[in-house]
Amino acid sequence: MDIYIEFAKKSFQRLLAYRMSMVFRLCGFLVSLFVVYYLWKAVFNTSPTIEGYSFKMMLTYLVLSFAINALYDLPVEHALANKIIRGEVAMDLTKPIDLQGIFFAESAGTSTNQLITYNIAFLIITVFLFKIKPPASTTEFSLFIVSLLLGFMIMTGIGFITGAICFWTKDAWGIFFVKTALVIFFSGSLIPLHFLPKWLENIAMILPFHGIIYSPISIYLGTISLYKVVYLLLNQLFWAIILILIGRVIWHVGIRRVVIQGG
Amino acid sequence: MTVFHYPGLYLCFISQHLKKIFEYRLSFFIGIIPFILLQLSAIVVIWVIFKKVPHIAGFSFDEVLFVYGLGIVCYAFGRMVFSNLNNFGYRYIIKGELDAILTKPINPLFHILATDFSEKEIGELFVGIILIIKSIIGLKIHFGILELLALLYFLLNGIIIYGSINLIAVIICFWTKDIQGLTSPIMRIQEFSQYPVTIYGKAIRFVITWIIPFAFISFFPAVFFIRKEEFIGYIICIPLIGIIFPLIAYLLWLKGLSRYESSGT
Amino acid sequence: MIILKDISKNFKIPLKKEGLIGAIQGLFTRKYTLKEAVKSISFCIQQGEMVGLIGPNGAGKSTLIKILSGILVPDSGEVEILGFIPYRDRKRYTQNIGVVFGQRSQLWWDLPVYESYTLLKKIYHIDTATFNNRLEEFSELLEIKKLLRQPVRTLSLGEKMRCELIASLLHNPQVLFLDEPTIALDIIAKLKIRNFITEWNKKNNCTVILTTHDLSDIQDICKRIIIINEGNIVFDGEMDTIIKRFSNFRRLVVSFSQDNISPERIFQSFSRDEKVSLRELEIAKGNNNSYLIRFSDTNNSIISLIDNILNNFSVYDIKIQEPSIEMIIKLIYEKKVNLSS
Repeated sequence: MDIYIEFAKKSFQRLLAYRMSMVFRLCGFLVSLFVVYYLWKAVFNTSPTIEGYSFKMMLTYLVLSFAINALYDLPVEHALANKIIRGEVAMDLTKPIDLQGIFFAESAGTSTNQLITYNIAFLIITVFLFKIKPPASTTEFSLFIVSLLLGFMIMTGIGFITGAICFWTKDAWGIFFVKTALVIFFSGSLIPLHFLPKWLENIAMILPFHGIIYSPISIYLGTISLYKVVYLLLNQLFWAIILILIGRVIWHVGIRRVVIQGG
Repeated sequence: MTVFHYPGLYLCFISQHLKKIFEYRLSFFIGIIPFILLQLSAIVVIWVIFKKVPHIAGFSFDEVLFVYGLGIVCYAFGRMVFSNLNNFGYRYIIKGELDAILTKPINPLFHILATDFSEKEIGELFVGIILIIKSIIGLKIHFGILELLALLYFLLNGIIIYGSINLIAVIICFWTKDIQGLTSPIMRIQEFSQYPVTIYGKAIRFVITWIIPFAFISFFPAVFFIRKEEFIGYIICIPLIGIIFPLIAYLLWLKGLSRYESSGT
Repeated sequence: MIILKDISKNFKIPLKKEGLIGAIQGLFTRKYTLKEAVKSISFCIQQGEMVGLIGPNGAGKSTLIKILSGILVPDSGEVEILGFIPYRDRKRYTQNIGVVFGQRSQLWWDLPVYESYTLLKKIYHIDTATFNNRLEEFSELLEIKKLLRQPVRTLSLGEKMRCELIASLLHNPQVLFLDEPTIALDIIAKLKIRNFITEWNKKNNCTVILTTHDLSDIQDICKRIIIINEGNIVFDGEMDTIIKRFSNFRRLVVSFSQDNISPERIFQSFSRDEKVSLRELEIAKGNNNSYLIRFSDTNNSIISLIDNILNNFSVYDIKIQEPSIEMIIKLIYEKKVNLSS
């Protein structure tokens, strides 16, 4: 376990070096947030509640969505992909460590760093600017944290799979970006999923992505029944396990390929 | 070398990039898909909004789509043509490639712009064009040859303004070599002009109109076609901004360049 | 024809502060130190000359070459090259010069070499027939014909440098600037480049200005050498003068494969040899079983020294050490060698 904590720490430290660029990225995020703020303000001016959401809830949803997305802003899968493409992965095979474990540890380091250096600043600014809704209760808040962690497992599980795809293609950039685009839409980053037409909502709920954004924020806002909360959490857990397993399988097939064909 | 040689030279540069694209066809297709997906996501959001409410800030669904579509076309095209500007700080100033550029007998800014070209936005460009066509039909705008010419002029004008803003945002690197990150937040202010500016407060409207004139790229041209009379004053200003802003940008570029010449890397 | 008169150039170097707060402060107020990179340098180079510009890191070499190639504007003084003032008439001036920066590429990284050349053809307005002839000739001479269709990123350093060289010569420049053209190359690649430059200079009477860290580059190519240190010219003259003056500082490094060697034993062996003179001969012990023999060319030929050693001892390895640029400059500064005579 120690070794994984060490990797998480290293990843964390590396990022501290980019403080200045973080300030600028924060500015960029705030711009995007202002755009959606005014867009939805204009929408709610016409109709004070939509699909059970008030403007304040919508705003809280969007701020949290931005904040959670920022946790995953610097994907570790680029490093993994580069390792595979340059053939350095063979070096790691000589060490007594589990690379998927390392990947999760590094992602955790990155996200923790983002949380401390970036999200806290972001949340303070946005709470001050937009006065977002506090969590419905402490129970809801704790369940939100649990859901967030499961969301992290899902996001990282997907990241590992896309990274491992680089055993077969060198177009890592394109595939990551396709993944990002899919995650942004189907996780509910742009709009709560129940705002979508029924058929589109159903598709989104079948896919694993809603566990990253929509589930935790819905729990935070307390708009859903306890029964639904339990269902969402179990659904997240299910996907987290499945994605990790898929990742392992793909990884082992890929490694076989490297070992047999020499990369 | 006179000005008349530049179009030919530009085509020569671009044709090199096209060869590269043909060589890596699969990359090309994988590369354009996410941009299309992201635009489609944003359009779905607009579509969902208009299923709940009939209009926002006085704009109907098709009007918002028209504004949005015109914006996509200008920004996508602008990013394609001016893509190398975003390498400016790192590649040309920090890595010092500007030195090599300065030893060639052609205009350095032209050389930098021609050196790279991004093809990934081509899908977005088509999404934008489809949106424009869809909304023109939906809004029953009379569209003859004059309107087509006006549209092409506005697009060209918008792309030039976009390039000028982008240029100003990157030549800050001449002064602040260590801080290249400033470019991206400046360019992100562009997002404000994707929707009708009437939804924003006074301060933001002022900024995107008169400080960083993103609103002149697509929004004011769009309302010209939608015939919103309250914007007539701004519409008149479009060609002026299209001349003044590139001039400011080029003068700043020359100033930055002469600073570079006196201080080196 | 290159004329430089009292050229000087200072740089303001910002003092950086630590940390985020420091970086933000740095946006508004900065303290500077002034660095005099070039201090009142003057020289004159005739058409067709091949001149080596050497000096330690930070001596002002690259500042000078940037001023000569029109990238930097000098703070004071006058430059005139081929009748142009480089930084002022840049477009017309650069049409007549070629520049190779050893650490920067003018080729397009992911294009085949040939495509880069066609772009340069457009940039310099070279007509097709001339272009084809020159490319044919150059690629023959530098043996890169097979590489023309390969993307630049797949080339080795030596191959890339040969391609860069061609790129800077396609428009038949009258002045060629080479900034560290052999940096990081192996000896064979270096030789190919040196031979080509010499040949080409003979044929076209083109002026070549070369900066380098490697004294052997200059020995092979240049008749004239300008040594710069701390922004000043410390020597400007014939390469031969330098070679003669500093040949006294050549050393033989001999590693013996037998034991019981001492400086005295080597001296003894030398003293029995009539071809070897003991004047200005010094022997010192180096690492392990190796010895350093300093000698002067005026008294001894290197061949007879080596002969003697090989005949009398069993030897593992012999090296000849040339004085390094750093050493030469140090010697000039310490006035151990007088160059004025």
